[in-house]
Amino acid sequence: MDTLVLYLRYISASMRSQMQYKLSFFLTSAGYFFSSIIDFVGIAVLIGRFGALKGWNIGEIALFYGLSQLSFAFTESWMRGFNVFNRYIIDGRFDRILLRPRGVAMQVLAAEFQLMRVGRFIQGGAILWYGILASGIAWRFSDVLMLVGGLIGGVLVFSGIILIQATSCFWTVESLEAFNMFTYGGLEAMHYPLDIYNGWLRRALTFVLPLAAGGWIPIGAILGRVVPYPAGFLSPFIGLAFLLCGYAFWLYGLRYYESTGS
Amino acid sequence: MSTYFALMKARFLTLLQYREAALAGIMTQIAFGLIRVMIIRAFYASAATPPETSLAQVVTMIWLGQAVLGIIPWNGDGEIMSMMRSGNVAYELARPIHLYTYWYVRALALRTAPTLLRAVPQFLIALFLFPPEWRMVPGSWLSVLAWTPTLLGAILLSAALTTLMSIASMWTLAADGILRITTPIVTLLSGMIVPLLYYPDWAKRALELLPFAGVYELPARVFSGVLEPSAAFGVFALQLFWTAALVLLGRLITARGLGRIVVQGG
Repeated sequence: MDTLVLYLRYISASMRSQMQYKLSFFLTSAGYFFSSIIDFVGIAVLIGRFGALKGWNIGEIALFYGLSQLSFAFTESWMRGFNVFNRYIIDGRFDRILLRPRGVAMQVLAAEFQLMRVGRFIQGGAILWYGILASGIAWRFSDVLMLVGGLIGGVLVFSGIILIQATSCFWTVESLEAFNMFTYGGLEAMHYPLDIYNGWLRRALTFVLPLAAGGWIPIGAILGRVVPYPAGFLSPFIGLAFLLCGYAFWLYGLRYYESTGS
Repeated sequence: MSTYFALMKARFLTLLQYREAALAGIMTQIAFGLIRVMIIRAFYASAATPPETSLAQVVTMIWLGQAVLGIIPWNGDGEIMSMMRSGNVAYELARPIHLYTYWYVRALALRTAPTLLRAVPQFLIALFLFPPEWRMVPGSWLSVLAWTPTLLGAILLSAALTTLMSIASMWTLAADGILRITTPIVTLLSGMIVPLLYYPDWAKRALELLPFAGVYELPARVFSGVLEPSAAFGVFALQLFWTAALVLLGRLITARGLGRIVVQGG
């Protein structure tokens, strides 16, 4: 309880400091909004030119696109500290964190909460909303529940990836760009239904890096295609299991961390 | 002239040092390329009417785009922008060189050195390592030959756009924010996100005339054989026209910006 209160105080301080630079905040948010809307313009152009993609119409693809963007935006906001964890190692800030009598992971989480991603939130939400209306689904309560579960599952899996990326900084601080392959590459892959990809990528995104939990599994189930309906409810549990694996790796890495002392 | 050449060379050699970053970049760009190729293959497989551009040509354009990604003017020169913020630009003013030209040659180095590190292995991988229908297949030897001047044109043009972005920080300290808006626009209009080929005709014709198409899409069309090798002349002319126009614009803005610059003492 104490930890939660402290966490909330930390992030409210972080938000207030970001709001000190209003123009910069506004422009950066607008930038995130633009960059993610432009990706969707690309998809719309392709669908306009080619028609439906393997039988998926634009409304259905909007569901995949919107849900993955939204879960990525949530992850980027709350995992910001881990996302730029290499800086904590390089400038020695992490050593200060280790000295404080509070949970290490909580302090890294609380150190930065990025509001800028509000642009991606709005855009992801808008496209998801468009998908909800345009996909022609008669939404039942269980479908809505499944979609929310998919969002949670997606956030948990992305968070797990970022946690593993941060942990790798204990060994090398040069690996961050390589992890873009999994974060941004994973996000790119999730914009579309998984059945358009080759088998190996589909299996990798289901069983190794289970990003399917944040899109393909719940949405496929809701749309009644390929995925059996009850499986759609698995998303948050898959996500949680993956994040726990990431956390175990983090604890392992933490034991081996040695400060350079600078 | 030799001064600027030396400055460019120094910058070029500095940028060549970032080899680990290049390795990670190659892996990421290959992964993105694979995803893009799978997406476009799926679109082609389910196309209602067969598109006029062949799948092999589009796949080739995608791999070329991944290989020369660094040429796209998606950012400004970080050092110049932080100089504006810190006021260190005053030192630059004291040097006996023409500022715009200096910044332009730095941009040339920024667009070529990292790209060179990444492009060569990526070309090899994309040309030889994948199964045949996934490979990069240039239109013909003549296409590759015709593509080389347009590559040069793309670099010259991209450096002019890059310099304009760096200069933007003379006018506002929120240049980071401006760049976040210009970056996605530049990638979209250059055809990196989706080839301009697939846009509705009216949009396509307009976009092809903008400077951004000359940075990636038009050279890629020459390389992949979507355009005849002879079309390279027109592409190159368009690139030179835009380079000249943007350099002129950049010089004008620099001169005006320097006129109103106030360096705080201390």
